[in-house]
Amino acid sequence: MINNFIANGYIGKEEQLVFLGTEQLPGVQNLNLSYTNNSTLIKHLGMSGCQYVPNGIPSASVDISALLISNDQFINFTGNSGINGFILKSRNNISENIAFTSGYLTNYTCQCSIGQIPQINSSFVILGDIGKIPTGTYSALKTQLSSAQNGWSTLPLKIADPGSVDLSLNSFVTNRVQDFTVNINVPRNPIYSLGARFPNKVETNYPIECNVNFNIEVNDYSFKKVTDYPFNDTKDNITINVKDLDTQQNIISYAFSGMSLYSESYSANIDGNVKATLNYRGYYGR
Amino acid sequence: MYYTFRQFPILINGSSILAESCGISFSNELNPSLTTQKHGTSEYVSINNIQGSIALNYYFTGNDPIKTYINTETGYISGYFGGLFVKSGILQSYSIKATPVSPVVVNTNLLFFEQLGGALNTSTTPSKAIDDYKIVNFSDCSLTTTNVSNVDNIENISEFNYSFSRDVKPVYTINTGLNLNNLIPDRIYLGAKQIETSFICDHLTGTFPLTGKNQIVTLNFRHPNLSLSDSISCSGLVRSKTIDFKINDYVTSQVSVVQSITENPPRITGINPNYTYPGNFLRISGDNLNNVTSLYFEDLPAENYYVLSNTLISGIIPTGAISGNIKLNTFGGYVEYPYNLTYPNISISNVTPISGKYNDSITISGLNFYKIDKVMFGTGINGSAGNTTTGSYSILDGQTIQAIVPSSGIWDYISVISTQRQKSGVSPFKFAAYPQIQTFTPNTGLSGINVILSGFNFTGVKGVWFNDILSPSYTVTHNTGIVAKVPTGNVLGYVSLSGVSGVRVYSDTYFYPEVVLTGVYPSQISAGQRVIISGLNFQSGLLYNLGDDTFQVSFNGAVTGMTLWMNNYMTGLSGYLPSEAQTGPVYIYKTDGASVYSTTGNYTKVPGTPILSNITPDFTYTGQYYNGFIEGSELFNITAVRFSGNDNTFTLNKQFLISNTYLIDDILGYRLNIVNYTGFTGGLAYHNYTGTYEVQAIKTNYTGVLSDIYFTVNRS
Amino acid sequence: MIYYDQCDVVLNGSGIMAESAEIGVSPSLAPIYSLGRRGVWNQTPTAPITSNISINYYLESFFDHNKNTIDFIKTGDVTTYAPCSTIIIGNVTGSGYLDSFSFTAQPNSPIMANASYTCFHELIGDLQQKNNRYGYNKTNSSGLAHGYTLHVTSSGNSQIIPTYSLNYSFSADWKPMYKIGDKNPIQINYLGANERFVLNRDVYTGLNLISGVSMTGYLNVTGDTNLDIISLNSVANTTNLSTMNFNLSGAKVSNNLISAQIDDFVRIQTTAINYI
Repeated sequence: MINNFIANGYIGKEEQLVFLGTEQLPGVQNLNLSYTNNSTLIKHLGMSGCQYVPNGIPSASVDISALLISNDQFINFTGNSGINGFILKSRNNISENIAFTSGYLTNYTCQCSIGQIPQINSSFVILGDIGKIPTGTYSALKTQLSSAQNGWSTLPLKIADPGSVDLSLNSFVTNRVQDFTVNINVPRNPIYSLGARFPNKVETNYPIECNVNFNIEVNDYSFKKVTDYPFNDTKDNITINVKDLDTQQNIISYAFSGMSLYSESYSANIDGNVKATLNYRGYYGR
Repeated sequence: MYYTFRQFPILINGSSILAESCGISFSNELNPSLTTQKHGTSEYVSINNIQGSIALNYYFTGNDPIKTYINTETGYISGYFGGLFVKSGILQSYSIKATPVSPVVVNTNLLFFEQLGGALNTSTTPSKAIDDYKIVNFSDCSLTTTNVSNVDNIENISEFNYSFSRDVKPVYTINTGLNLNNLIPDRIYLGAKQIETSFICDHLTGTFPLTGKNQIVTLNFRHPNLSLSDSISCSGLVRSKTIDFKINDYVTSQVSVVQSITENPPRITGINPNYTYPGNFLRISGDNLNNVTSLYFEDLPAENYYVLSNTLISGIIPTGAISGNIKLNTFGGYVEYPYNLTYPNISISNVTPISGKYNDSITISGLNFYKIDKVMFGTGINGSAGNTTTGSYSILDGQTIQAIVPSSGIWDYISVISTQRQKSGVSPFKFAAYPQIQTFTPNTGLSGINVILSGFNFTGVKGVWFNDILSPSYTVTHNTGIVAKVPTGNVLGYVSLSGVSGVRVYSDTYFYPEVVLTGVYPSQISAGQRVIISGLNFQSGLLYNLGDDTFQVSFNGAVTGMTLWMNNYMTGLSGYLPSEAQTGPVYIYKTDGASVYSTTGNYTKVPGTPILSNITPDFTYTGQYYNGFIEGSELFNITAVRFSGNDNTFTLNKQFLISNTYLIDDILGYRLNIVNYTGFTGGLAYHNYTGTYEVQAIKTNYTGVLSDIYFTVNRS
Repeated sequence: MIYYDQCDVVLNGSGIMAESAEIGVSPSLAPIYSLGRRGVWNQTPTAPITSNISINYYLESFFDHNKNTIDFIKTGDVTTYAPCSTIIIGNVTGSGYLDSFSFTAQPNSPIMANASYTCFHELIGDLQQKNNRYGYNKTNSSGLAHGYTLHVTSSGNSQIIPTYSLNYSFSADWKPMYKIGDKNPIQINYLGANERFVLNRDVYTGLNLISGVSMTGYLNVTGDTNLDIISLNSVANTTNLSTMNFNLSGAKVSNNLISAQIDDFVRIQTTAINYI
């Protein structure tokens, strides 16, 4: 009985193979996929029954959290390209899929802190189809599903470690960085035309906003003052290299130029050392 | 300080008016005192008297205090303008512009030749009396045009302008004591005057005689809630016509009528006799009747009238008149006066023809056909009172009516009614309104079904007939509908109705009884055997006649002709089963020869005796293969062909294979290809005998049927 | 009180799915003042009474009476017969002449149309709640007009140069003729009409405005010159599709507007007018 219950009761995580394009995502920790269709009730004078009509853009999104293992497959989608994705229970059966087409990255966050493997949280807005999609419905998706069926990514296994992160800011040499967060917001603007259900084009509303936040334990960090802005504010070039624990090879490199330090906080309490939070912000055009 | 309009009431001859605007202007006439040596001067000399004018616009509310001055050349108009006043105003112009659904506004201009008296007085008590006034709206007015020469019938007037104007000049004489305190002229010269009306209408003809055309235009002011009634009128000649074509607008015609004389308005004080018959004289007494321009008895002009004096006229009442108002126009205006008539009885002497069907035209003769509003065909049925599109009538003259037979007439008297005169007349005999069949449905079927007839004048129907056979039962559902049962018998033919008057009317098209096939006898037949088809309504007019009274029948596609069997009953067809017919359905053809009736019978073809007629080639040589064919009928299901020698010493049973069976044509029957089959070589021994053999067909139940055809085997 | 779901909106005998409907009656009364009188004397009619009806409703491509009226004005014998519509709102009934008809199509949205009429005769009937005599939404929403299924021009080619929004408007002029002595018009005639197409696209072509440019030429249409509104069920590739056509031929470009704003692409709004 118990065995049957287990066998029939759920789909195990081992049966959830997550793909972006043709690449399987390693280290996926969490995935949420949802949609809400755009039905609106027709209300009219003299009405007696209820009918619905599509009105507005259906809302669909996919959120994925993944450990930074081998490489960062998300950062590439901060540009103009969209991506199809799917989840398979088995490589041998691509018809049993949960899939989406035309996913566009809207938010990218990489968090790295002492004692944890860096993790990337990403959010996609889905502007195509989403759900269980018959394999013949969209030719591109069909090709990608077939590729997923045929091969496995040959990426070398590389695991990032907070101890193997290079930071380029000078002040961090003498002030211990406890964690950092890189956040990139990519506003998307789907352009719909008459006579079609899907967008004619998906534009990015530039500039893209990048935030890099650091928490440090203060040694000799020199705070700025608010009136330094606007004519004497701090602008730094920030480079972050996250490396493999064993080989010290770069897994991912972030290079932000002209980042503006727009916020600092200073905190002291009885539980520990004096800490500071530094928030940098930058905008990047097309 | 400035004052507002609310503070200064206007009174004309002491009566308040609803004034919209009032402008008073006056000027003296001074010339500079120049001499030949002096080209400039500060001295002026008055060369004429003060002349003032009052432009006054006000709402027309009836009892107009100014309008009466159009007709008269005596008397002055006094005006009071918020404290200022004139005593001796002279009407110079008076005009009204009428546009649909708008209030009537009068524009006048008065002249005066005196000092404006009084002073503005804001303490003047505003008039309360005007609260009782009612503004007349043009939507409640009636505008009539009377064409005296009876050429144009103008209606649908969308705009109307009336204007009166005249020359007014002061006349002064020398030494009459005129000074600053006495500006009054010795007299006022009233010169040429003219009334001009113009109206816009949809009358677009070019009719326009050189000498003009006498036209009277009368605008009657009425108020829906009050007995307010007034009028303005213009009796003159048509002077101009303008036809306007422009985009985004209607095409209109503007007609202008001018009257160059005015006089005191007419008045009627009495008539004599008070009650009389149409066609009689009526004496009308009153005032200012010298210049009558038109005399109407309600809506009809007097047949003639005579002006006996300025106070008495005599008119002949038109024979078609009804009681109402005398309507009289002079150059002075328009007046109405009530009169009463006694009417003669209506009588009908003849109706020709005395019968007719719906929409036929008949002539009704009689007397006093005036103001007729109903011509009735049958008691209580308003056949053609002009209120239906199908039935109508027209009054040709007082003795003749042309009426259209309505859809609802029956065999009954015709009555002619004048509601207005409260008279009616009845024909001396009944008119037979023929019923009329327009359509019936279905137009085919078996005896006993119900057929719905549509048409007219069904109320008096006494019988429904199918090919002159009386329907056993029918119901007149309404005057245009009948449901009738199809009788038994030969009902192929016209549907007809008999009416109460003995008339008989026929449909335009036939009723076609349905041909029904009920059986095939015997149901198992072999080719050439006699066959009887049973059914209903087998008759010449419904079946496809191949000629010689044989009718086309199909036995599963094999077409043949059959004759009527016991044709008095129309229940049988007799013929023979064609040889090519195969088991299947039987169809009976409609008269077009192409389509078939919906019912079918079935039969089973049983084998008949094969009949061989030919074999080609009819010889072969010993030891040779043979290929050829046999022709004949009833060859279906043949299993073999046999050649029998005269001495019956051998046979070729089953030595020939029937390879194919195909139809040559309908007459020759079927042909069999026969070939040696591969095993035939084994039988060559038999083949080595020369001789003549009878060809036989081998068929179940008909083994070894002989024929008259022979086959020869020669020595090779 | 009659609540909205009890209020029928009926056009020529067919219920239409109206979001809002209005009937306004306007007698043309003017105050009458008189010299020397303190207050207004009274109000009196100075022009015929007219009523205006306006309806905002879901456009159904399978059938629309107003589209029929427009087609009749374009091709029928409108000289001898002025097409009049019977409009019922909560049992109040008017005979109206189509003054204007318009709709705006946006992607992803059902198409709402607006029609307005002028009645030259008095309205009849009093306000009453529905009696279930009229049916609505006969195609169960499948016949609705929708941004999904509006194609400029023929459906197979509409995405070659996409259109991002479209406004169609039609207006007609009617002239009543009144005569002296009558409150109601003796006749009502059609004078003229025009239809206007406003398209939003992302391509710009220079215009020789002086000599005029035909809309079909300017749009460089592929396929026919019709603007097709196919019933919504076409997205599911079902049968029984219905199509409403508006023909662009005859329309000439009257305005070309390039507009740019942040967070959007540069839009080219082209307006064309066809005088009928």
